Amino acid sequence: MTETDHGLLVQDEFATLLTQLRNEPQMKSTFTTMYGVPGTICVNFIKTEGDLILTKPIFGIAAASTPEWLVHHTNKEDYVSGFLARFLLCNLLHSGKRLPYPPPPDATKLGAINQRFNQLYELSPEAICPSNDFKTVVESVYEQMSAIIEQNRQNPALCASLGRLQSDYFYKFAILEATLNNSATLTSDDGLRAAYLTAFFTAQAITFFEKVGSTKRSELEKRILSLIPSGGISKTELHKALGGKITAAQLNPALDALVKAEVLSAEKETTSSKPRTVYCKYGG
Amino acid sequence: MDPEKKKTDTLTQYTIFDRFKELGIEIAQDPPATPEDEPYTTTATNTQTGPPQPGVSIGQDVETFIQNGFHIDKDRLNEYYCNYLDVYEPCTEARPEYILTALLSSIGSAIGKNRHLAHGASIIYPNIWSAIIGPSTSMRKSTALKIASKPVASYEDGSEALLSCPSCCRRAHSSGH
Repeated sequence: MTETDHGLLVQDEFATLLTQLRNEPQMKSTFTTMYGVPGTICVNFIKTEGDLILTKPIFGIAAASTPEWLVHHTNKEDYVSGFLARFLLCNLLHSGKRLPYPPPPDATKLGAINQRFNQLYELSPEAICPSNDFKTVVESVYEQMSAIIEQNRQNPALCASLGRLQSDYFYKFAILEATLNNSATLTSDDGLRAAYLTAFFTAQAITFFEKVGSTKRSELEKRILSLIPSGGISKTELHKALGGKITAAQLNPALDALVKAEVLSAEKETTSSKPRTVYCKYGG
Repeated sequence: MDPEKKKTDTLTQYTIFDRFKELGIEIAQDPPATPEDEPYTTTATNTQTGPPQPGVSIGQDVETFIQNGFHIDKDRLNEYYCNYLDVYEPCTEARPEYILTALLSSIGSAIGKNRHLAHGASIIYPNIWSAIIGPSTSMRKSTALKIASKPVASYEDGSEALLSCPSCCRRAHSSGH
C-alpha cells in the first residue's frame, strides 16, 4: 500500500473484520482515521511486527453481514465513535426472486462495462470542480439533510451516519458521477443523481439504526420510554407509573443510559421543597 | 410556475410538513395538479402536499424508499450503474441494490486518489466503505460482493488490489506493493 496504490478490501463477513480490528489495539481508530486519507499514518501492530508508516493510504471496503452478527459484534462505542458511521449500510429483505439455474452474463455488454471500469485505473490525477448549478443542488441537499438530522437528534448513532452522508458521501457519489461521465466538472445532474443515492442510504440508515437502537435497549428502558408523557415526568412519578416495584438500583442506570444516549433530557426543577429532576423525550 | 420557486417550496414544505406531522397536526392537501404541473410528475410516491417538484427531494425519496422496500429507480441512476445492473441482474437472485452498494466501493477504489474535490479546508476522495446486511445465504450477499468486485479482481488479476483482510497492510508492504 504505497502513495500511488489503491485497493478494495472485500470481507464476506463484516463481523470478522470487526473482530480482527479489535484484536490489534488502536486498529479501529487507525482505520477510522484512514477513511479520511491522512497525509501519513503510523499503523501500530503491537501483537505482531511493530510499526508501519503509510503515506496517504486509500482503499475502499465492501463487506457483508447478517444483522444478528453485526449487532452482536458491535458495541455502543462503534456506533457513537463514528466508525460505523463511515459505512454505507444496505439492509434489505428478500425480493422473492428465484433463479435455480442462472444464465451467464451477456458477454458483449460485460466486455463494455469491464473496459469502462479498467479505464478508471488509467486516470491521471485531476481535481473535480463544482459548477454553479451543482452548488445550488448542494445547498438544497445540505438544508434537507440538516432537517432530517435535526428530526433524529435523539439518536446520536444515526445522526453520525446522516452527518457522513451529508458532509462526505454526497460528494463522493458526485465525484463518481462526474468521473463516469468523463468530466472534471460537477453538474446539477451529477448532484441530483448523487442526492438520489444519498436519499437511499439515508433511508437505510434511518431504518437500520432505529432497529439497532430498539434491540440494544433493555426491556426496562423500553417501558420507561413508553411511559414518558409529552410534558415530562419526575423520577417519583415514573416509579409509580412502573408499578412501584422497580428499585432505585434498577431505575437509575436505565434513566442514565437513556439520558446518555440523548433519548431523554434530564432537567432540574426547583420546587418549594427539594429540587426534582424531570425527564422529557427530545422533541416531546 | 417558476421552477426556481418550486425548488424553494419543496424545501419549505418538507420541513414544515414534518414538524406538523411530529406535532400531530393534520395538513390539508393542495388542490390536484394543474396541467402545467404535469411535466414534473415522477414515479415516486408523493407524500407531501402539492404536486411532485423537480430538483432535490431527499425527504420525499427517503419516505418512498422506506415505503417501497428500498427499490431503486434505475432511471435516476448513472448510465454506467444501469448497464452494470442490466448485465448482472438476470444472472443472480441478489438484489440490485446490494450490487450497486458494493459497486460504489469498487468504482471508488478504482479511481483512488486520481480524482478529488476540494471542500473547504479538506479534500474529499471517492473511497467508499460499504456493508450489505441481510439474512444468511438466501439474500446472496456474497454473490453481490463478488459481482461488484469482479472488475477490480480481473484488472489486477487477483493480486493485491483485492484485499481480503486487515493484515493486507502488512502483506502489501512486505511485497513492496
